[in-house]
Amino acid sequence: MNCPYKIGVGPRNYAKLQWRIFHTLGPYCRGVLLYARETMSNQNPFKPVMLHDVDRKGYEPLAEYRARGGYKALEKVLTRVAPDDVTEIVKQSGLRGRGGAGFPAGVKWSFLPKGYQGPRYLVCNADEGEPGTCKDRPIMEKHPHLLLEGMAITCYAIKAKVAYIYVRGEYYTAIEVLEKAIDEAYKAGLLGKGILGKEFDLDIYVHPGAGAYICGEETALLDSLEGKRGYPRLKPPFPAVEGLYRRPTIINNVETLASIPSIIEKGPEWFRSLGREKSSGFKIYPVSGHVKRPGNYEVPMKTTLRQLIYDHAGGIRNDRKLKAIIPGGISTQVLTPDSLDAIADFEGIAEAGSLLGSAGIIVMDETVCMVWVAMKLSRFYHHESCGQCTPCREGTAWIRKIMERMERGQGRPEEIDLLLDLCHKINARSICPLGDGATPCIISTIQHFRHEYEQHISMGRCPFRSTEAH
Amino acid sequence: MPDAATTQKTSNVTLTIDGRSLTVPEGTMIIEAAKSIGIYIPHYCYHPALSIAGSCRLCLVEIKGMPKLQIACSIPVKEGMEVFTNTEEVKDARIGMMEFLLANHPLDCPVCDRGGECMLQRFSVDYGIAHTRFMDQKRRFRKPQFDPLIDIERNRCILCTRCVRFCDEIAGEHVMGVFNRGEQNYIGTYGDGPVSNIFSGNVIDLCPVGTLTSKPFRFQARVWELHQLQTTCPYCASGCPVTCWTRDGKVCRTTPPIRKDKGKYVLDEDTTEFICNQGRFGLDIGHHAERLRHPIIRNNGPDAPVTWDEAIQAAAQGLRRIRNEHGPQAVAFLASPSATCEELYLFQRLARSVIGTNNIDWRGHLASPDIAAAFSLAMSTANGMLDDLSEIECVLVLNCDLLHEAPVTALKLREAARKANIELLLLGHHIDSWLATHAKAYLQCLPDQEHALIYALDQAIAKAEPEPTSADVDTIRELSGAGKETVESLITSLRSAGSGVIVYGVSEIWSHLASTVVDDLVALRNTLGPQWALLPVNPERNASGAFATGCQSDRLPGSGCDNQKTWEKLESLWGKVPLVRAAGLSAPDILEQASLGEIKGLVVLGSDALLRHPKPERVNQALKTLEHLVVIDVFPSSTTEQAHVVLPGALFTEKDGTYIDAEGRLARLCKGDDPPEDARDNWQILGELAKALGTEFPYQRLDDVFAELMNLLHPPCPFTLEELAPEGPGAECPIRCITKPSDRFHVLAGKYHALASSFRPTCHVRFAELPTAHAEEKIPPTVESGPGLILTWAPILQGRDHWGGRSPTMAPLRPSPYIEIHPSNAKELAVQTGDAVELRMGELRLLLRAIVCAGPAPGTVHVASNLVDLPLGDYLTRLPRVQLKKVEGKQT
Repeated sequence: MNCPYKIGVGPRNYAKLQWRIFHTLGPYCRGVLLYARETMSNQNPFKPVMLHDVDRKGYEPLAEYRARGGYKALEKVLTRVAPDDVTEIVKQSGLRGRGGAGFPAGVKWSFLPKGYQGPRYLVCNADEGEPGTCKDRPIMEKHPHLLLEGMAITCYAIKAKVAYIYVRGEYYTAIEVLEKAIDEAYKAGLLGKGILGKEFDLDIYVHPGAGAYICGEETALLDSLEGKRGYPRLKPPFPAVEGLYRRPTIINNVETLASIPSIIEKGPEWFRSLGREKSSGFKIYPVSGHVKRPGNYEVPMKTTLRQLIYDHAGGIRNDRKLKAIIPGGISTQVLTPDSLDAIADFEGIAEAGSLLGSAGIIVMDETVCMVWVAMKLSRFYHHESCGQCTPCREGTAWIRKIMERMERGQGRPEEIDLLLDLCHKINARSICPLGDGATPCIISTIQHFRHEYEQHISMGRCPFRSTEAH
Repeated sequence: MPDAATTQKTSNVTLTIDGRSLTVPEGTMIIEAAKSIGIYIPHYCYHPALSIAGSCRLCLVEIKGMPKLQIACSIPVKEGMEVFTNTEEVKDARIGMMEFLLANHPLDCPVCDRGGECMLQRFSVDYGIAHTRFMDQKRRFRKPQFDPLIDIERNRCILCTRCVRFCDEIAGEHVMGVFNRGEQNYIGTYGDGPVSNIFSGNVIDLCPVGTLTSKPFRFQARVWELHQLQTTCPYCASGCPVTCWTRDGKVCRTTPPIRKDKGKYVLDEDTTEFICNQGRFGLDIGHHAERLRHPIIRNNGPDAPVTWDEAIQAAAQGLRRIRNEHGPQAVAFLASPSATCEELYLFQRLARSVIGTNNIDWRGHLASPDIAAAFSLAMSTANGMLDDLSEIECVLVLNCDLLHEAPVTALKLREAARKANIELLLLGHHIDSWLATHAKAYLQCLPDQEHALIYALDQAIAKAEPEPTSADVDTIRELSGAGKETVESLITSLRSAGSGVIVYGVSEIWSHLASTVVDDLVALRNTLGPQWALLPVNPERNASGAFATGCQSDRLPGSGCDNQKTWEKLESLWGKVPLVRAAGLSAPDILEQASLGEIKGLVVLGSDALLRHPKPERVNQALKTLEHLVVIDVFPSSTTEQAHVVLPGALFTEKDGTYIDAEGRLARLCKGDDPPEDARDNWQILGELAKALGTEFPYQRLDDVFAELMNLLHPPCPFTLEELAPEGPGAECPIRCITKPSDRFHVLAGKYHALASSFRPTCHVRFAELPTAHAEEKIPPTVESGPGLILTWAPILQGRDHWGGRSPTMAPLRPSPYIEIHPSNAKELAVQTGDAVELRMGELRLLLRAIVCAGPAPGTVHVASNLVDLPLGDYLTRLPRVQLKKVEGKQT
């Protein structure tokens, strides 16, 4: 199954890409499925770890991966490092979860109940559903063994014998590749009983999702993995205490797990040196939208938004004016060009008034109607809300109804404040972060572009209607 | 129930809620802790009996030190926690949630049956905003096919999922679920089928809004127009308290008991008391068209209504004539185990002191005196109670389809087993497959080997060795066919449990083995130790009452006193009339003697027991031979048709009185209506009959009867009948008089003496050996030889019944005739649940719906005897073998 956007973004595909990003932040596309042929720009001195030779054809087979030093890190920990020390190394590296919340991975592992005798699990969250985010997909499709090695090291550290990869259902290629890679690893004695001749057993299973955005939320993912309706669970108990099948469970993102082998190999100090104090290491930034070279860019976390957009992604297409940036997947606040010099790490983006999230950067130029963007995003959240808790179920639907009218120019003046009030009433009151994620796009577009809302109401139509972007 | 899991923990936690300090057990949720000091936190999805959903988000509270508001239903208390339930932010959150919930809620309160007791209405008063900011089209759903008795209106639903969780967790059937996603979520049943379980009606009460409402009650009345009658359910020996909501005396709906809140009785959505569908929908028969409304005298001519005086005189005259001509032993009395204690007490006084005979019994449904003897033994050794399951470690259920005989008792047991408060063990030829899902172990055996199995268990447990010996285990395995681990775990559970109850269904103890089985059970209990108790479950509501009031040939009212003293006490109480101490006949003997012409006069109080006799032709034969038959009843039946005098009585909603349930609890029945037309209250009829026979009863009011009866019981009841009423001193617990186990009032004989070493009934009135009739039934019990499966049977609650079967509401809920097949046999026959199977028994062919379940033992099949037309009465000494054949292409 080939993605039509896999082969770079030439002018011919440009219109399609726009369609992809903005028209289908809805039912069947939750991510921007693209790689750029040039994932690396000349200005990046960093040698990519996860996107190494990412434009290759097919995935990197086991032999090739081992030839360039693959599974060395696993061998190292199995022979020389005690499980708790692995956790300690990861703690020292300051690796923070790459799924969106940015919780320190090593700290999360140490939450597992001490001395617990029963089974425990590792679950790899590969349900990459955040629109604007496509960083896990190249890892799984090109370097599946990097992920498997990272999982094996993690399982060793947390003493799990079974691990699951919950892959987004639309990622057919990733699922196929992972299955093949797992077969290879079993045959090579890198999975199964007595891995590398040591007393360490591990089985990894791939589980395809069924297309619900909510199943990317870790507890909904667990429910879905158990065969139930994907409803987020109440916390506490946290999954580390009571997760999959009510056993202690660690859930980590693909990118987090794929970062681990390099930390083991090159040491936590090296990893720390790549980023700033609280956000260490390197990271993949998927840049999409109105840029000349959309794609995944793996850079140290010291990089600024300006560098990412103008240096790596080549600047705004047609050299138009930049209007807005969504810095971390659509669940984060929209930023204006004023924030271009913010460093794209957890703290830097937070200082600019948004969140790094999954780091999926969506760039919009001056032709884009922000009310229309907010309407599209509200449709997405309405469609993907699981409906379990009141504020998210009713709130997202209500916001969508208002936004659709607003975009048509049929809003009422008082409804701009009503929208803000509804967002306030959803925020921090829902079971899971989906409710919290549904509001930033509305709040921030009203905050920065209130005049566009007012224009829609006063003109009785969308002022951007005749422009190229539509 | 909410704190069932937490009560075991001893540590307490001190916290403050709204500035008030309180100490509660560790693990209590904030919402319950707040409730304990009278702070009500509004909620929809939270229910103390169900798992936590945390989805309505209405119970958000502020906790010091936590950045976000937290839901009070899922956060357990912690030491030093400071909770605020009334801050501006909390109020803002509640207003927000209410606005969200009401945004799509239709404005149809004027036509909604929930109006007046709706939680949305209630919290709208506190947190609703008067105007709507929602300007768009409201969400609408199509109305689906749902349930014959439950109406669904999805537009009103707030998706609290209480109904879904109730069905999954408590009713144990995964029939309901949430469908679709997000805003389009809706509740429903899989395949749009009915909510097919015996407790389904409870989802109506659990629903906080008007989504699930009662179909029979639909548009009948507004709830505030109704009068609440606190009474007790008359259908089974679980003895649930219920509230009948009546208008002009007519029962409009029945709910679990309601409590007084701010001077008003309101339905409590958070009640943890659940009732079964029979009790909920089956109590509306008071105004039934077929009721007996006038006294009738039959003189071989057309039935002409007569006055009460004439009827009473005719009834008395006939009895007096027979007594004078043939002596008092030619008169007999048969009572119904559904009559109240007061009626039964007066009835036996009528027999013993007015007529002068001990031919009085309530077991008209038994075919053989041997089973009657087993009943006596069972009742007199009963001392078990399941009221406080936290004090019981283990419950062993023998041969009892509790779900269909005493559903709410089954519910309590299953809940306790599910929450791991008790260990549940099942035993016998027919186990309750519904309970089996939460049983620790179960053993099944063929019907004629139960006594052997119980004896083998007894032997295995009696051994001093810590581990059961392999010989014992092998014996049990041979009898039950169970695995070694199952047998060992069952024995270990029995031995290690400090206290326990053996529950057994007397209606399923098979014929002549009955006495042996009960004897073995008594022995088993003695072996298990003094903390073990026996609890026989009769399907009849007041069988325990009939036993306690002496409405039995070999029993006198009261207990705990020896023979001579009891006789003397009764003689002094009943006007110094010398009582006849000659032997009385039990019900099977009465019928036998009647058909032989020895008994010439019979008085029947309620004919429902006789109607359940396995051989109706024998009953008819006996009744036909009688010279004088007086029947007091509420509905016409084959018995009233043969009666010379019919006296129309009162139904349960039309009379006061008390019932005693299987566990010995006394419950008050309250009058909410007058009997129709000429019909009268039964205790007055009995009084008039006594008066016409020359002895006037000295009772002015029913309370006097109750007081006299309670004086005979040991220990005496501390309340008067009046005080048991809802407005009396026991208003907090209007039905069950006392709730603490230590001072609970027991009525059943032997209950207080049960823990003494000997379990032989001390107050059992021993008469001389009875003449041996029924010689043909004395042959040893057998199972028919030959190929085929062994057929076993027992009645079920929803079956055709003298009263319950008449409720038009219950008709769609009555199961179609079914046959339970063990999975191993079903596999051989290639039958699945829902398939039609043909049953062959001799010449007989019957089409039945197959239910494949673990209930019947392998090699046996089980039917509900009151749903099928099988000549089961021919098989009182041997169990029949039947052939089954799947009928292709037919789904029932």
